[in-house]
Amino acid sequence: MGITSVLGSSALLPAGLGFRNALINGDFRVNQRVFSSTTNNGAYGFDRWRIDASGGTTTYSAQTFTPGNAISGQEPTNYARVVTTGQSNTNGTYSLFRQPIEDVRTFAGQTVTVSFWAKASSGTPKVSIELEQNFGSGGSASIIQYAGQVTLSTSWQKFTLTTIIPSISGKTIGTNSHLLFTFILSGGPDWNTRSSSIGIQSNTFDFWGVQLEQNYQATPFEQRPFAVELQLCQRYYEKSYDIGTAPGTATDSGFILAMPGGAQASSSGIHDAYINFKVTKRTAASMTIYDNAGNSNKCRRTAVGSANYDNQSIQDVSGYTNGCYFRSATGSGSTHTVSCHYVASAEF
Amino acid sequence: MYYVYTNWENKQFIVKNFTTWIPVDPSNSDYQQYLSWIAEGNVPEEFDPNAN
Repeated sequence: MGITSVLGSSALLPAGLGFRNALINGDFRVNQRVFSSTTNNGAYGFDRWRIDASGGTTTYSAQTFTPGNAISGQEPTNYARVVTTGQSNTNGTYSLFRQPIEDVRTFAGQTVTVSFWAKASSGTPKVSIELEQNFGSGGSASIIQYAGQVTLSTSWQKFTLTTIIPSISGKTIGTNSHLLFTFILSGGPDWNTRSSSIGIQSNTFDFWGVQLEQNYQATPFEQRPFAVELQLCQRYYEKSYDIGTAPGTATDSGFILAMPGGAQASSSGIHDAYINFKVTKRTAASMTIYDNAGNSNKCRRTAVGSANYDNQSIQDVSGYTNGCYFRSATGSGSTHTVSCHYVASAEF
Repeated sequence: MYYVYTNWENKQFIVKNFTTWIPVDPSNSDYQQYLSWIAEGNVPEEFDPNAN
């Protein structure tokens, strides 16, 4: 007997079924990059969500709800907007809004339901949903699963699609395998087969509350605590700055004293430093180090009780899964500590 | 643009655009992009930590 039969289709599922949404940051609450807008192919904006685009211009931006918004029963904070313009109907043209879900084993062989709210700025554009099983480098060829297509209106609407993720029996899993969730917003002729001929579309697409769960029907959007959602995001991207502060901002707030325990370097030469991450990363992290003045690839040395020296060179930066080692290359003065801000990225 | 730097321990580092240090790890997407860039016939320049 199914859940619907027991509880009715509008009933809340019982407690104990948490973490059912495999998508992270489906409500776009977490914006560690403090991004406002980007047109770069492959760029992440809201944590875990990126655009892949070719041809014309695809603009991905952060939008803010006002209290009492149009999504019934919810008071969300942010939503994602993707605008497609200027594309021609040729092969190699596409606009995609997507999230890679770590590990191709995710939901393999299971029935899943996608649910989300969406609207458009005009007309009735279509959105196709695709789930690609990517077996990673050295793995089997990808399996592309078309999940369905919906037609938007100019009002927020909740959409639900159910599909079956293929089994991975007999497949080889390589490095970086993942399940790639994709909204297809626009595509040239070579996208017809995998998008049910969505075609080239110029419009403004808004999304909120995206959920992918192992179920034959959609459950209410899972409202995880912000601290939990942030930590889920930090497996892929983490920064030392305050949550609302963009990397590269001149600030002391959140900076890391990279020589902990009160230790002080004693000369003007090379000083070793180590940063411990807040959350273990998916893979060894790419690192960008900043001094407190906002200069990238620099650190701060402090002559304790005397002066701060920003804009100090660094070298030997080695990102790991749990932290980062680097060296302050040079410096002047006598006793120094080494401090910095950082961004660690282990995204797909 | 990518740069390479070899330290006193003969360990090689990859630096992207003078800002981001990329680990030599096949799971890291920046490293994958670096390898693709090399496969296209590009050659990284030497990185001097004190020059920038």
